[in-house]
Formats: sequence, C-alpha cells, structure tokens
Amino acid sequence: MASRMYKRRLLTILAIAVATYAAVFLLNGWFHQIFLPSLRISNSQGDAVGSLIIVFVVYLAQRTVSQAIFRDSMYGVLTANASEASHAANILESNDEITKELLSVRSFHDVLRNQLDSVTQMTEQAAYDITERLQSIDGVVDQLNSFVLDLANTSDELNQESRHNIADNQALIQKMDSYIRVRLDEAINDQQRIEEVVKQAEGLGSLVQFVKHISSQTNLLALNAAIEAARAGEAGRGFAVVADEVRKLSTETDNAVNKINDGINSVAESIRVQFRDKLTNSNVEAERATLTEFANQLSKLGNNYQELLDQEQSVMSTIKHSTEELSGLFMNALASVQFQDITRQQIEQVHKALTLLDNHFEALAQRIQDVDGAQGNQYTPLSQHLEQLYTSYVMETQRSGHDEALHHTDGNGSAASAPKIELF
Amino acid sequence: MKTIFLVDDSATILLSISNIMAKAGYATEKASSGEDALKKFQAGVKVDLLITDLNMPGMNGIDLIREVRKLPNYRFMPILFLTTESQQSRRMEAKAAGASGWIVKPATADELLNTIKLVLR
Repeated sequence: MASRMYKRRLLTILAIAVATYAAVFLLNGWFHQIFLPSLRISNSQGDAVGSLIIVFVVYLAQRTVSQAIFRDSMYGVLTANASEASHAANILESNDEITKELLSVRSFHDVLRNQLDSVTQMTEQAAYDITERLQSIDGVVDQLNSFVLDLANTSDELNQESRHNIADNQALIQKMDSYIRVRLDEAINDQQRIEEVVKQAEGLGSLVQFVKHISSQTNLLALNAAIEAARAGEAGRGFAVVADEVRKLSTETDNAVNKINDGINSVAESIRVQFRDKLTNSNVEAERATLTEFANQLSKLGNNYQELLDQEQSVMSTIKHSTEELSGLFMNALASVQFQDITRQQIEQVHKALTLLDNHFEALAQRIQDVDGAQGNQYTPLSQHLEQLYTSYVMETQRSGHDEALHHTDGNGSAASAPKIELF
Repeated sequence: MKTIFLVDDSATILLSISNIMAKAGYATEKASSGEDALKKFQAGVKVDLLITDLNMPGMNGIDLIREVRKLPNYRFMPILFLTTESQQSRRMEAKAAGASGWIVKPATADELLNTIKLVLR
C-alpha cells in the first residue's frame, strides 16, 4: 500500500513539474514583457508573486488530479485508510468470534467426553454382565457334565453287568443247543428202544402160540390117555384120573396162554398208544425248532441289548466330548472379554487427546487476543502435542494408528515385532 | 491347589480371568489396584503366582513388583504381566524389576493357561 502511494505521488509530482516547467518556459516572455509592465510591477515582485501563484496552482492541480483520478485528494490514501480501518475492525470482530468459539471447544469436548464415558461405562457393564452370564452358563454346563459323568459311571456298571449277562446268556444258549442235540438223540434212541420193546412184546405172541400148541397137544395126549385108561378097565382107573387132571391142566394152560397173549397185546398196544405222539418225527422236529427258535430269540435279544449299550456309550461319549468342547469355548469367551479393557484404555487416550486439544485451543484464543504479542502469550505447536500423545500410548495399536494417520513409516518396529508372550 | 493372585483395575478382567483360573483348577486372590495388592502381600498372603496389569491408576504394575520383590517371602515367586502394552522397553523395565514373563492382551484361555503351567513348573 505504501509503495503504491509513493508511486502515485511521484507520478503526480512529475506530471505537475513537467506542466509547471512548460508553463514557465512558454509564458515567461509574455509574463515579464507584457503582463508585469501592464501592471507596473517590477520583475522581482512579479517573480515572487508568480512563484506564489505557481505553488498555489500546483497545490490545486495536485488536489484536482488526485480527486479526478483516485476520487481522493490524497491519492487514495484516505480511502485505503478507511478501508483498512474497516477491515481491521472486521478482523478484530472475527478474532473475538474465533476466540469465543475456541474457548467454547472445551464445552464441546466435555460433551464428547461424557459420550465416551457413557460408552466406557456401558461396555464395562455389558462385559461384566456377559462374564456373569457366562459364569451361570458354565454352572449349568458343570451340572450337566457332572450328571453325564454320573450317568456314564452308572452306564459303565450296567454295561459290565450286561456284558456278564450276555456272556451268561451265550453260555446258556450253547447249553441249550447241546441240550437240543442230546434231547434229539435221546428222542431218536427212545423211539428205537420203544419200537424194539413193542417188537419184542409182539415177538412173545409166537411163544404164546407155541405154548398154546403144547397145551393143545397135551390136551389131546390126555384125551388119548383117558381112552387108553378106559380100555384098561379097573387097572387104568388111576391113570384115567391122571389123564383127566392133565387135560384140565392143559385147558387151564390154554386159558392162561390166551390171557398172557391178551396181556401182551394189550401192553404192546398201550405202549404204542402212549408213545405214539412222542415217537413221531414231526414232534421231535417241532420241539427242536421251538428250542432253536428260543435260543435264536435269546441270542437276538442279547445282540440287541449289546447294540443298545454300544449306542448308549456312543451317546455318552458324544455328550462328554461336547461338554468338554463347550468348556473350552466358555473359557475362550471369557478371555475375549478382555476387549473391553482394551477399548477402555483406548478411550482414556482419546480423553487425554481431548484435554490436550482443550489447552491448545485456549492458548490459541489467548494468542489471537494478544495480536502484538505484548502479553507474551506463547502456545505449544500441535505437532508437539502429538508427540506428547504418542509417548503416552499404552498399546501398539495406538502407535500404529497414530503413525498410519500421519503417514509415518518409521514407527517403533521393535515393539511391533515383539512376541505376544515372552518368558524372561 | 495352586493359588494365583490377579491384580487389575478392571473388575471385568478380574472376574473373567479368575473364572478361567477356577475352571482350570486354580484358586485365586484378587486386587483392583497396586496399593491393595501390596497390602495383601505385606499381610503375607499365600500365593504361587502373581499376574498383574501394567497400567493402573496410582501404583502401576512395575512399581508393585519392585515392592513385592523386597518382601522376603516373595523373592522367588513367579510374576507375569498381563497388559495391553507390548513395547520392548517396558518389558525390559519389568524384567529388571523382577518379572518372569509378559503376556499381551487380549490373550486366549489356552495362551494364559499354557504360560501359567510353564512358569509354575
């Protein structure tokens, strides 16, 4: 602005000097030879008056030219000053506004801090509740586990007992199988023996016939003896008595033989009738089939029960495995609650950053108000605040996030590569 | 049964980690600050392992173990840090103060229990 003013003045003075020079040069003869003599004024007085007139005219000319060109009698300085004064007033007004706004940032940050505190409290409460609920769930899982273990123990005992029973059943089935075979053999033997007995009984019939034949011959002999005794007269009377007795004996023998024959036939028939059902092959086969079916059913029952036990053991094993898996999942779920602690510490860092920003904005506000620096208001540059923030970080993710945001590639590599777990 | 002393300013961490320890068959003692923990140590609490956080309001983990190591009964007790911090310089500081190991949060249950087994062996 000052330079522009200087140029304007220089140009105006040069223009007026040239005009004055031309006027003095052109009007000098007329002024001294015609004008001054006509007024009877001496040359020295005329020059003095002329100089006054020139100065006055130059002054008027300068004002006129300045007004004509710059609309300002002082080459635009007055306008510029007025404009600058207005601008300065505006700057002061805006400075006041900015100062006010900067000072109110703390309130804004207070709102943010409250929101962040609320997030911390809510997540902390939620994480605590989750942990308690997990604890309750674990209690139920423990109960289930205990129940399953008891059940598994009982099941083991039952299983062992059942295996014994099944083994006993197997032995019983084998015994039964042997019994069936023996029983079958015995039945066949019985059949043969009974047939033999019947045959022998029937064989006695011929013996009876033989005795009957002897009896008949004896009877005939007794009759002949009686005839001969009668022919012998008195001498043969005793012999006739003997012959008669022999004939009677023969008749009784015949009767006895008939009774024996009837008895034998009756016994043979009775045996036949009594063992008829037992001695038929179909009955023996049916008995064998029934016993075999019974043995098969018993074996099948044993197998089914074994399958049931195996299945039950498989179910127990699956439940046991699942409860163990559940227990592992539960512990890892508990461990993952650590996220809340990490989040809380990150939010605490944001708190710190907001406090730094509060102080920084207050320092800026004071600096704006102290335009000339008369009160010695100094503020720490934001870059130093960032460095201060960096040193207060408590985890690597904060540092890497910081570096990433500021496009720093020379972050703390040693910390980043440090192992998660280290034993000293 | 081995007893583990847990020190952390987060109630949630104390609850969750003590649950994991209990499930793994350990008894636990708890303190929510370095100062409380130190009082219990000074009173002679019987523990086999100390697991402490690093950054806590008031007495931090490193200051705590410096004080604990001065007590005759706890000179050889294993001490683990369970913290969000992973910086090597802080680890070295902890090691110099008498720490036995360092675990960075978040750690899984297996990582915690395996490390505990190693230091208690």
